[in-house]
Amino acid sequence: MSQEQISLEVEIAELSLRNPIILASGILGHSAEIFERIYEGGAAAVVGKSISLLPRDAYKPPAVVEVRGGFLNAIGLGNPGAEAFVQELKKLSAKKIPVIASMFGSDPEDFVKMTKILDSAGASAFELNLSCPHVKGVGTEVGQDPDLVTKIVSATRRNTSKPIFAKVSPSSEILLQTVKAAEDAGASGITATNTIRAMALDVESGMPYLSNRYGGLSGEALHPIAVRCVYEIAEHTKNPIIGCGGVVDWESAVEFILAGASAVQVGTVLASKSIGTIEEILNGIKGYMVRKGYRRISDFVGLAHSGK
Amino acid sequence: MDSHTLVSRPRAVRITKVRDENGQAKSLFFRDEFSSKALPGNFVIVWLPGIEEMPMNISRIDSESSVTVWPYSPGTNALCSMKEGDTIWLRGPYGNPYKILGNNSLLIGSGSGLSPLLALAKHIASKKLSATFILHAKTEQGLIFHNELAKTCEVVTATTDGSKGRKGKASYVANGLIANGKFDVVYAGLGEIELRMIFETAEARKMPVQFGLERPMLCGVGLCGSCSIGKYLVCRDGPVLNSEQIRECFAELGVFRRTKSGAIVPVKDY
Repeated sequence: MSQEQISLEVEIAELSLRNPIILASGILGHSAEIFERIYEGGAAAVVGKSISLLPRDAYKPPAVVEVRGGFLNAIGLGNPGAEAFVQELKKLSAKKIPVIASMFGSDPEDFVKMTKILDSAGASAFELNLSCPHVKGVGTEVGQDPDLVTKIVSATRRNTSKPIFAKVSPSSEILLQTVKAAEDAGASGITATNTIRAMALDVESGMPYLSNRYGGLSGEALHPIAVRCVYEIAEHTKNPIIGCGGVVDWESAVEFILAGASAVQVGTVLASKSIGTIEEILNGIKGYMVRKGYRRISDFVGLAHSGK
Repeated sequence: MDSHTLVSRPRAVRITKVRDENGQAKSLFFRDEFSSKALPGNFVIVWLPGIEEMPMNISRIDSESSVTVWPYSPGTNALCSMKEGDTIWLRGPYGNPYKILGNNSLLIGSGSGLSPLLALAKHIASKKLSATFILHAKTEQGLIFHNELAKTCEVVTATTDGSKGRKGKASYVANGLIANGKFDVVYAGLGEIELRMIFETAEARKMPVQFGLERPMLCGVGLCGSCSIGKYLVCRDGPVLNSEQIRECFAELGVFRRTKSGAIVPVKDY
């Protein structure tokens, strides 16, 4: 099979993408100009930084520290609020860049308001952050409460007909319950996963590196945990899954697809390597498909399950 | 420094020497293998546990490198009161450095923007190229590095209030010299409003520039996006941007920037 016979296009929950690589939430997710650069760099879609209804300050630095196998971050969900994100969406309205709006909060009413304004501003889809590990009262804490997940997803579903992805935590004891609650309430698919709550200490001062003490671990060390989550979720759902966590090259991206993901998000690698890595991953996936005789991504989504 | 050292994990270094630059700014010297291999324009992020984490340009690059600190915040105040033997924490160096172009360069720096240009002036001199350096500050008290610079290049001293040397803002003095047209390249570390004015003059004369930018930075590694200007990240693509890059983000230069939350706010002069 030659490269020309191969299509990287994927369809996830009515979202048609030119390839399976998506920018993960929280990475460079503020500005239209940077979304455009990452799209031009090869990504098929971008997920914005998680936004709340009202602006929220980031944590004081140090907000990021490198560890073996990745980074810890505790940015603290700093964001300029939904109205400011609308302005970025408007800058992109003439371009065909799929922007997935990521939202967080603890009050379903906030999701109603955010969904309304972001839907009409042109967001292509929504991702619900039910999994940030370092901010009290939101993220993981919401994801651990299936009743609240139901309320938040329903509130979002009632106000948009666009795809909704629930982003779940790798550390959840009730991962599949959260997934089920989200799907029953109208989520179109699942993003698995977010960073995992972690910590690193400086031995000279005896203090945590991060001002928030706790952060979220991303990068290579997270990857096998995220692959496990995708695989587990795929055993229980027919809805599309987006793999996220520690993709650093084509091989780690393909692992997610084999585990059951229809698309894959990249984040930390853009810092640990560069934005150019997206292109390398896409070329690597193409090479893999040629070698294996796959014409479409869907030919090998979830293939790891068939050999059990 | 073993092979496991992670560039973005703060490492403790001991201060080997403190130099009082002008009764206000202090240069802290330290031995750090990563910093000694840096290039002019690279920056480090200095951490004082429990106090503050601060991006800082490297002012001298050698077996003993230095950062030069102006007191204006809890962290910089603490750094300015440090003594030989005290410990600071560094990560980096980060960013794209200045690139040497042409035989005759004009360097312009003012106040806290002078640090990377001292390292650059020394680098240019080591290549036996000629340079003129506009050493600027708001007032005479703010001037630093004069004697060290005078050994490497021609120094034109200037102050906004005229208390020493030529009178006027750095951009005003610079544009006067750029108009003479004898320089191959302009290197500047100033506030964005000043850079904007210099860029317009340099563009009219088709003179290439390299500007060292400073924007509020959270991560320093290209993750958070808070230091973005247009499609560029000051921490990764910068801090030094060239003429082509400045052209692409000119609408934003000196006009607006993003806060650490990503909100857009007007740029104020400093």
